[in-house]
Amino acid sequence: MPAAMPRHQALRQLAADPTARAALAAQAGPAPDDVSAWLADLQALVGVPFGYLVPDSRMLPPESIRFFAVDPNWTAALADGTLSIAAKTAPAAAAVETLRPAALTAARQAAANRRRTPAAPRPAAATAGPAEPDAAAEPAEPAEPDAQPAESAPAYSGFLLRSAAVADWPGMQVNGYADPQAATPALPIVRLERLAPTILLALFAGLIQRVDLTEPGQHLYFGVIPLPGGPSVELRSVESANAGAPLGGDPVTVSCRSDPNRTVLDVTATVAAIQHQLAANGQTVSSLSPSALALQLLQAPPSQTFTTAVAAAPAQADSSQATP
Amino acid sequence: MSSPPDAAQAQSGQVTFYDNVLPPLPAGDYQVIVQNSVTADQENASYAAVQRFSVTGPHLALGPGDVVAMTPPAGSQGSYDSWLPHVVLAQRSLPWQIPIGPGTIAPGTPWLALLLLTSQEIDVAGTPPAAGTTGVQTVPLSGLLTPPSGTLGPTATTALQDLQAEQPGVTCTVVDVTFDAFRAVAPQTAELPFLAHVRQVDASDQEALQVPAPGWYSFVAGNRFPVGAPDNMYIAHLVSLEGFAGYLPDQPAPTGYGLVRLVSLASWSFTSGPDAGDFGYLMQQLGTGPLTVPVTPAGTDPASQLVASAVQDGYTMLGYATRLGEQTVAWYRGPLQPAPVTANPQPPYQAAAAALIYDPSTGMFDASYAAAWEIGRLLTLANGPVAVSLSQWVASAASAARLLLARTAPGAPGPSAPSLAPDAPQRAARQLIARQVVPALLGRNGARPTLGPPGDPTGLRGRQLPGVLDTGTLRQLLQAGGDPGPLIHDQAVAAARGETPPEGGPAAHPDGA
Repeated sequence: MPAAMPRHQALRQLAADPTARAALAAQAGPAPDDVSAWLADLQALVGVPFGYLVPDSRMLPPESIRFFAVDPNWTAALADGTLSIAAKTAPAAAAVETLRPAALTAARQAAANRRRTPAAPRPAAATAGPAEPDAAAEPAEPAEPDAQPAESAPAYSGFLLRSAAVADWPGMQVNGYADPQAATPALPIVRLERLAPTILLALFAGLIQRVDLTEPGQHLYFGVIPLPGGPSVELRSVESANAGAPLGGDPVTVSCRSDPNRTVLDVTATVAAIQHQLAANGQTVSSLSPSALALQLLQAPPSQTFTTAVAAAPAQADSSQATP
Repeated sequence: MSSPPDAAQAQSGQVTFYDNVLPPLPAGDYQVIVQNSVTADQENASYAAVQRFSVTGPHLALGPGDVVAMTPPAGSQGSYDSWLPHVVLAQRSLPWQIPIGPGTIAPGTPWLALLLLTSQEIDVAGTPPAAGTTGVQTVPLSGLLTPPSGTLGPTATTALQDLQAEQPGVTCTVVDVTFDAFRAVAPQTAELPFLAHVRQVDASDQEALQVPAPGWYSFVAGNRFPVGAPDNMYIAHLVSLEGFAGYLPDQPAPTGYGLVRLVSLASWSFTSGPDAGDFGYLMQQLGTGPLTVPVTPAGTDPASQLVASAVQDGYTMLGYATRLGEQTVAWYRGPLQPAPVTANPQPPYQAAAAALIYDPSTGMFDASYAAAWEIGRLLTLANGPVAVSLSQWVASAASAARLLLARTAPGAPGPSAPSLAPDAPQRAARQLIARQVVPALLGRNGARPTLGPPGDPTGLRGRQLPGVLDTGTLRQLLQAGGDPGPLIHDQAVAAARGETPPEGGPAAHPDGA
């Protein structure tokens, strides 16, 4: 090394030297928790203004769903901007350069597990008392094994959904798969968040080829089938072994109150009719409970499957990109 | 299914139904009495303390997050004629928190009922509610408990009387329903338990909602199908039946009333029309496509083709003000791209301008990564604690970089020295003091000390300021097209080391080429 090497060149050499990098990283230690959490959030694009994600409203018209893959170069540049605030001096810039690769990989892996931590602790009031289901007795969610090697950070993909359904059916169930047949387990969800009342953003760790959107179970509505003989329900099993399984057989006509102007369900008569028919189907039910009636009146959750070509062979989509 | 269990976690895609979740303490007044008898030395003493408290419920209004969803959706239009309307509530025990009274009603009887009404069945000061409204009125609590004549209000239960005594000015939201409609639509006492239940779902593949117990919801259904209204408009009111136990349709009808005044805890309206508006219909109607601007190329010339191909790749053209003030357009593409992009590892961008991409063939900039860099910097600067923490973390590595640099400098132990030990900073600091600070203070080889006495704090008096080139050298350098920067740097460094400044001139400088 020549004695008169300018300092900035020496620093650059230092940042490129593997031994020096290891020494610097060892000296600095792992990123503080708040820094790594922040970097992970940014890799999941948390807080990035919507205009940066969708620069033109025509890209996401009302009542549409758009699939995408996340550009790792974009999120890397985002991380560079973040780290740049610490690069106040030349040695600090060299330090940033040496710490960046590991920090970026760690952030991407942490982002993939963002939703693994419990979203919100249950309030104490909800777990007290004998009549309440005992939340503390529930088995804790098994800890995710840190099986992922440190080298590979998953590619992210996802969709933007803009629909009145986002506002009207909050908490819709979202499952993404890496193959069109959904033969593999669902991809882990990195982020599932309403960005606006009618806009839902979903990010998956992996490239999606299929997405299933299902009406959330808490919203499944009560309804009847309009048959010529009158509104009816098809019976489901109420035996605990196979609760909810269709029983087949004749639908039961629901009873309404005798009111010429209003169609009001006669709950008592309907309960009796359903109970009678369940017994005729061999179901042992002494008295139909409210939850068993709910099971009969439920309509099956509508689910929609979308297949996407977003995970096609990595296209060189940056055609107009030239070397700076 | 009959009673709340020692519940296991719900499986994905499964829904578990429970008849009800009763609150651990029903609403009412309680007292805790502690009695203690002490016997010592044949003396008996008894102590007692009483602590009174009352458990109350949301008698007149629900919290802002209590109603998770109302279905059919408010303001929507759809073929809902075989649906029963419902509300999803965030608190699983909410429908059973208040005994409806008066009198004793079986536990498990909800106090909430969802009444589906038409606009003709609701009265606002003698007229039906205006279009788009649900006919609610705000009245003081006394207006509910002692309504105008001809209007039936709730029987004043103890809880309601207490409420009025404690908060005389409290108001509540009420709806006036025609007496006939109330008797025709309200559930009978025995029907009430069948119109509410609790559901547990798996919350892990859902958007995280702000609810007290994720995955647990209570559900209150109406009992009337939205069929037969002349204008197809329906108004649903989630009402409190507290104090109405004696007036439900299975009870003898009180006479002399035209209206019934009920507390309305939530209300919305919808239209039951020919179009389907349910979840499945909305999902089927969704437009799919790539995340690009939908434009078709204007022509077949190369420029149009280029634009079309860039737009297909997810680019948009945005206005761009250059550093020089020029107004032009630049390409921008966000992080969400229509097709996967391979990672292109780069050394970190040191500035937003470094991330600008220039396409010489079109003369246009691609500001995508520059914008990403800038927003990353701005977001982090706006997050003070993280910015401080990040700076401290990098600073510890930066100090190590300085030490390594010092070690590879001339005269340092050299690269064969052991790697940074835990006490390396202290040792390096001692070396720095011995090698540089002490000679600077005492003078090297009999020369003048670099750091002078207080009278000459700079130690530069009488000498040329280090790093400042004389006019001749600078002119010569600039005429030859050289960069004076490195020379200034070297001279300053040399002066700081107490060496003779190197001779000026482009030819003499090792980096001058």
